[in-house]
Amino acid sequence: MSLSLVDLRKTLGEDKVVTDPDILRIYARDPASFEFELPLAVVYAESADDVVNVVNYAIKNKLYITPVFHSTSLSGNAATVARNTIVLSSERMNKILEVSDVDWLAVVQPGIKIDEFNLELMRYGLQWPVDPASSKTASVGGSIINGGGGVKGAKYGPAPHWVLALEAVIGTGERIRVGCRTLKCREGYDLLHLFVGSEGTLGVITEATVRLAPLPEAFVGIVAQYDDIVDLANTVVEARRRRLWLMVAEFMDDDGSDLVGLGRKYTLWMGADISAGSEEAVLTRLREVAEGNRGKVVAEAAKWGDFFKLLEPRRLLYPAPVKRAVESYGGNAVIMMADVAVPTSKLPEAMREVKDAVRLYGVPTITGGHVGDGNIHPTLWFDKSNEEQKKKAIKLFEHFGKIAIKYDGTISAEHGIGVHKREMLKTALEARGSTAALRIYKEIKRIFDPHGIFNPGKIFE
Amino acid sequence: MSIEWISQLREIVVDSLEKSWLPFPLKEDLCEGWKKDLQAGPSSTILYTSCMYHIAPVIEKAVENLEKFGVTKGGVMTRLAAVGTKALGGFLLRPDEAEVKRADGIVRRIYELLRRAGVEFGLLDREIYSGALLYELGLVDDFARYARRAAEYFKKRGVRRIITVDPHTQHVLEKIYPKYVEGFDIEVVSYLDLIKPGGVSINGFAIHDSCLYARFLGKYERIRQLLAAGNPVEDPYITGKDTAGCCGGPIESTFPGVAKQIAKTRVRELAKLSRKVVVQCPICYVNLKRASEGEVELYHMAEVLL
Amino acid sequence: MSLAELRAEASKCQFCGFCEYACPTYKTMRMRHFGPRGRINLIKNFDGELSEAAYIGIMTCLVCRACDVQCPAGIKIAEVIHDFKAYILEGKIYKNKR
Repeated sequence: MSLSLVDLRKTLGEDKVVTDPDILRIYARDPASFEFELPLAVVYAESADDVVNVVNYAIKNKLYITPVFHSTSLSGNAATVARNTIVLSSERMNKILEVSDVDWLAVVQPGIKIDEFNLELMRYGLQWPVDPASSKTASVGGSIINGGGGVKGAKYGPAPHWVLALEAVIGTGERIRVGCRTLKCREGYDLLHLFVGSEGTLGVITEATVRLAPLPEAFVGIVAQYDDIVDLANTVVEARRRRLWLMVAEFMDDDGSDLVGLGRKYTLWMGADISAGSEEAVLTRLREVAEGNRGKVVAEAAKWGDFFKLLEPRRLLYPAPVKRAVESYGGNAVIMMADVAVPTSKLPEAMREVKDAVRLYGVPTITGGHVGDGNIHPTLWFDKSNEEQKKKAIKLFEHFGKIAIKYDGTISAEHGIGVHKREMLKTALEARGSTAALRIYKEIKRIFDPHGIFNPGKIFE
Repeated sequence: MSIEWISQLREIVVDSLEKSWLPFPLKEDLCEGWKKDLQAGPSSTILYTSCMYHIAPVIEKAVENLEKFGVTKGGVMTRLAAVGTKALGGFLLRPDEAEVKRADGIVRRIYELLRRAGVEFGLLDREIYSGALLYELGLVDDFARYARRAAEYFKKRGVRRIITVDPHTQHVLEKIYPKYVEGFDIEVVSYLDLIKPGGVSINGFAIHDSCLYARFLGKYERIRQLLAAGNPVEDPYITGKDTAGCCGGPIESTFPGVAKQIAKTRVRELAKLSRKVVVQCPICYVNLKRASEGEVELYHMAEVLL
Repeated sequence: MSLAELRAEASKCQFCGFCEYACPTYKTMRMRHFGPRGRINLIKNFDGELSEAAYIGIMTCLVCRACDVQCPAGIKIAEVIHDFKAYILEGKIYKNKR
């Protein structure tokens, strides 16, 4: 393929089109991909018009487009997997266009990083409460398009709850706006939420109107440790029975706690946003719930800032395996983070099976996650030059999915399907007796993307 | 590609250091004027400026010219030799008198702060450059050769302890010289750790940290201790130890255009906190000044400590 | 560090991108090769030649160390890039000049 991309350069401007092979290689992948194709070009979009131009160019020249922001996907959906692909990067589209402290919304370009956005919102006493562990580098647009969630999910839920409207360019080259500026919006089909979690297969988002929440007035939280995962899970169950609406309920298993220096115990972080003045009363209730389930309270915080610090070891769920894996396997290290969820009530049994599976397969794994919404992330690592270990690791990864299916859960809570979970998706749909869904997905894609240009190979083949 | 330019720059710097102990063809007594009338008896402890406060304004002018001539872009390569000599030769011999005076004032202020704290020290008969720029550019072999010469210079004068006044010199002497100069055992201390100021003359400013002081030399807390009386405005990201942004200085002589954009980013961040900004490094000062266009007022640390 | 050591250190990168968080050149340029993740991967992929864009990406690193503390793999990013700069200048300047 020796397309000169002259027309595209002419339309967009020289500096927005890069075909330098060294640069193409660093845009071909994301953290989850170890195999990828070299794209034809990286194009830096700075406006919706740029995106329209690239889409029209791709239609005309029969090329693919993989839209990326900051490529932090853990399921491979920002990687280039097909030949003749243009990587369309929106990382330069990072402006905050509007913040309304009455409507509690903001209009942003999608390439702004979540933490960049929230640092600015802090000045207004507001927040966008979608906070994946990668929020330092993950974009607002990327977390919407992949349906990301995070630590505050127990109360706020994931990205789908925090987006009001999107502007996107679809595969016909048209710009469309979906959703409304209002929280209530019932105009025909909910196209907005088709885009959320579509993993770049339906179009390229160029602007997002997102919903904001006030920063909590006050916050209290505790850290408790357990010998048994069942006691830990029951603590959360009881907190819910007692109508304690937790903002954070995070956990790390014994291997994970050990790896991050908390000792070989199951660790629970549990906290709630509250009205100022009720700190001691709520702390007492949290303590009671933990201790009533054989938990040992090892730390407390009466401010969000202090709790945020206590959460530091929990945020090592990805970094700690990275560190350990590169220590063990150097440049051959690969980390895979599963992303299953089960209803909170099923967590004790599901966790036990996860632990059994890890023991059976003998692949190093730690598990942690968002116990408040049943979302757990068994995180395994292996040496990619060791074929046998690699095979075992992939099997174990898929086994976690089967455990989720068994307990009425999902194989993908917040990371998406990408390339890693295409087979698991089929299995999950079969288990629910709903294989027709896959056909509907493909038909929907054809409507938005009639030429089949967007992010090939993702979600389904 | 700027490889030709780095080549030129290297020749100018190496040649100039060879001839005059200074990195550019500067007036020989540029960094000496501040010593007038000061007690400067021989001592094994010396106050050492490395000429940094005096070179910085000169670099500022040169960089403006480099940017004008487009050293980092293609097309002017054939003219580069001439451009380099012009930018770094012609102008540099005559920095603004006002800037020289300000530099004199800052160094004298540091001298006074040290004396007042009861620190015993002498001055060098002639300031020489530390060679930091060569190391920072990645010209490691040239740096190593020069560092050995400079170490010999100190040794001949019986220097056992050096008090530095800027982060680049402190870093290169404390952390890098021992790696490249065999047997380099001169103690290197920053004036920041020796002075006992009695307050701060301005209030409600933002601190622009030197990357070297904050992240390489562990001085982040000390700087806050020294400036606390002026109630600096802090922000977890903009002035955080791990996240505070660089001024762009390290690439000012190789990619002046990019350096300026970086400095602009930094100025915009700092301006969110205060219109007054205190810096600790002469390189930070000129880079932020170049990008600020009046958006913030810049103060050297030594100018505001009472 | 030798080139082999630099490559080994760079190959620890898992591509998470956390290092871009506070990178002044990345924040300003918003292109991956102007950030630590891009630079480290350019070094990891280095096969003896460097394209012009890659060269500029590497050489514009400020070595300000805002990335180091963010790296989960503990890569000494600033040091690796500084030493790689020295390596390419060694090749391009000294060898041609002597």
